[in-house]
Order: sequence, then structure tokens, then C-alpha cells
Amino acid sequence: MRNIRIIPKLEVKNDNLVKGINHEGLRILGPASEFIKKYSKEDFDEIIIIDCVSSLFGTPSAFKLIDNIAKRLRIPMAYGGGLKSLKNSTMALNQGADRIIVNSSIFKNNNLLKDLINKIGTANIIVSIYTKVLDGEYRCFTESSRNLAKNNLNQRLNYLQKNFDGEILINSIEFDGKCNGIDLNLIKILSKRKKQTFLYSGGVTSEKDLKDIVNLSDNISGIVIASSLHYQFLKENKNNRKYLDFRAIESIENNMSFTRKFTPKRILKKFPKISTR
Amino acid sequence: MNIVILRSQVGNFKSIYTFFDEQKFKVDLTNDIKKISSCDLLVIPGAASFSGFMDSFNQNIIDSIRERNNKKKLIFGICAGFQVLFDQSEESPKVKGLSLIKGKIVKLKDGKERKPHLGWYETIFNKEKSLNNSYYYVNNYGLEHNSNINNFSYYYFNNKKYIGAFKKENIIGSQFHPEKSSTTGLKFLKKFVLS
Repeated sequence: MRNIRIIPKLEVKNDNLVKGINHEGLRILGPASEFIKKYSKEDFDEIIIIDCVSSLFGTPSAFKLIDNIAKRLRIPMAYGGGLKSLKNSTMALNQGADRIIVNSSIFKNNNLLKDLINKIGTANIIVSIYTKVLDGEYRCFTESSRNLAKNNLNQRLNYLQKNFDGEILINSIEFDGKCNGIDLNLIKILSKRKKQTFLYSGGVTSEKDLKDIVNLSDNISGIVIASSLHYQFLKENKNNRKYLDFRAIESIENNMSFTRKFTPKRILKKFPKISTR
Repeated sequence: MNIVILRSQVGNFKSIYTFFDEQKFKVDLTNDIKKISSCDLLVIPGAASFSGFMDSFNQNIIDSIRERNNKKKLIFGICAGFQVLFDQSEESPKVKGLSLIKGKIVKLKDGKERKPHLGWYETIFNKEKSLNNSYYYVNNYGLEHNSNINNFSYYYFNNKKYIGAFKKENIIGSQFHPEKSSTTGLKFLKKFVLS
């Protein structure tokens, strides 16, 4: 049986959950811990925390936040953001992350990936790639998708095929935060790389999206969801003053024609084979 | 019960610490040799490679763990902490394990199922059947069924049987992460490890 994990992704800035569109214009959605509490109760398979400012501004990674999260969490947590060295990465694990996510740093420093594999082990590392089409080909971006990298997607995946046999998190910049479907072309490209294993993130909103991913590929082992879950949660907590002023959310929703109800229980009911839990 | 969680350089020991702490045990996160020898239960947690893990112990720590074993005091290894209980691993051929039990950790078989072996996998216990459930695994290397061990659980990867957890006299090991396996994991810790 195919074992696909459904993974909420939380981008954080200090203690807050933030979310943008196309990884731009980050908006504060509320205290990250509230969302984490909810997701860990809901039988998700794993969660991903991305400190989306630490890579960009070079501020120290949010170790205090990992510490706080790890205490409560009973499911695995992968952490990424500003992990530029072996020391930083092992520190993230020591603080309570179960797996680490690296992007910019391993492509700048050739030895880092090798060192990480030796010390931490492939299974505990996720390599993350932000990509979108530019001049007809998929290009890669670093520093939370701000800077264009020299190598394109294909070149990076080739490099990883030689040096890394763990999971690769592919973030579609174009489809991020829009809650309006997935990057089917990108999925097709990934599905041809039979030797590699991917997590897909970007625009997953409906059950059709999940179905498409499952049907189009057999090497995607995890489906990563952010906005659709976060906004669902905000909707359920409309009157709770702890969260962002709901009018702001409504305006986003109007723009995105966001009408779907998206909960893990429903996913599991519809796709009994999608997860082993 | 007095519990010590072995602090190494690499790995996540927060979640397992919190588990025991919440169960109101006296628990220490340390690599102090006196405490390692005197505690009732020594937990070796792990999110690391075989060598990354062994490298972070000095000879004194290794000796004190072996001495515990000679005295038949409880030792519980998780994930990489489970693997280092054995002699060696294909992951790091030059590095010696703790050798508390005979056996070699091997690379998981290639096949249709994709590596890393990561996620929730059905695990079947040969004796404690009430614990049969899905547990959370993160590993590329594992232990094949080993005739030394008769109280165990197993999982399948590419149609091959590997050990998920075992109990042999004073030694308990689990390849999966009970502390990350939600309520099922807690039940395992209570029934398999603490009873």
C-alpha cells in the first residue's frame, strides 16, 4: 500500500504564524502555538515549521519556538530556516526538531550536505527547493524564494540524485498561498524522476488536488498543506480575538473564492488508502 | 522510578523527556556517568546516523553502559539508540556499536517501496498483541529478524521482515519513535517499557 503523509506547513515569524501569497506579503495569522496544538490533535502525520525570516535576514533560527513546540508535540516535527551549518542543524535537533530542512546553505557549501548525512543521517534531512517557471523553465530560488539561483530545477535535482537519497520538499512559488489548485506540470516533471522521493507543497486545497497528486505520481511521499488549513482554522475561530481581525481574512477569502471545508478526517474518509493511520 | 535520558551531541531528546516528565517520573537528561550507572532505566534516544551517534560518546560513557548491562539493569534504545545496541551497521562500517546484543544493522532492502522508510507503518507484536498498531518510523537501516530475540514486533519493508521493537532480558529497543507515535506510542511506552 502506498503510504502518503499529509503534512501541515507552518511558516513562522517570531512566535506568530504567517502566510503570504507566492511567498510574498507575509500576513500574521495568529500565535503559531494555537495552530500547532490544533494540528497535532487532528491526527496529521507530521508537521513542518519554516522560520521564513531567519534565512532571509540571517537572524538566529527560532530555537526557542522549537523548544516550546517540541514539549507539546506528539507527532514528528521538521524544522527549517536559517540552518546554515552542521552546528546549527544539530542544535535544532537538540531543541526538539525531529528532522531538519535545508535549502540555500547546502547549495552554497558543498561539504555541508555530506557532513549532515554523516552526522544526522539521510532520513532525518529534508532538502527544500523553491521553484517557479521563468523564461520557459523551472528555476530555483533561495532565501525563502527571494533570490534566483544559478542552477535550474533539473540541475539541482541531478545534483541531489548523486549526493542525497532522502526526501526533497518541492515548493511551487507560483501556486503558493492561492488555495487554487496545484502545479500539475511540476508534478508531472517530478513523477518522471523515479529514483527520487518528494514532498509537494503549493496550492493544495481540494480533494481533487490530493487525488491528482496520487494519480499522477508514485514518488510523492508527502502532501504539504498550509493556507487551506490555516484559513479553515481561522474560519472556525471567527470570534476569537486571539487571532487576526477576521475582516482581513474575509477579504482574502473573497479574492480566492475559498469555500471548501478541509479537514483531515474528511481526507481520510475519502481516501482510505492515502494514509496508513 | 529514576530515569536517565542519555544526552548525546546529536538527536532530539526533548519529546521523550517530556513524556517521562509528564508521567511524573524523576527524569534526568544527562551524560553524567554516576547517574548513568545508578538510574533504574537508561534511555538512549536518537535521531542521528550510527556513526554520528557513537562518535558523541566517550569511552567512559560506553563502559558505564556496558557495566549497566552486566548488572542487568534496564536499558531502552530508540531508533539510532536501538541500532547502537548491536555490534555494527552497514551505515558506518568502520564504527563499532555497543555490542550489548549480537547482530548487525543492515541497509533496508530496495524495491517498490521508497526509501527513506519514513512515516506510519503497521507493526505486529508476536506476544503483546494489544500493541499492534501503526508507529512512526524514520530509518534507512534496520535489523532483520534475529534468532537471539524472542519477544519482539516486526514491520515489513519491500516484503522483508524487520524488527520494530524487542525486549531481551534487561534490554528494550524500538526502531520506531514511540514518543512521536501519538497515543499509540504512549501506550507502547507504558505497557512495553515501563511495566
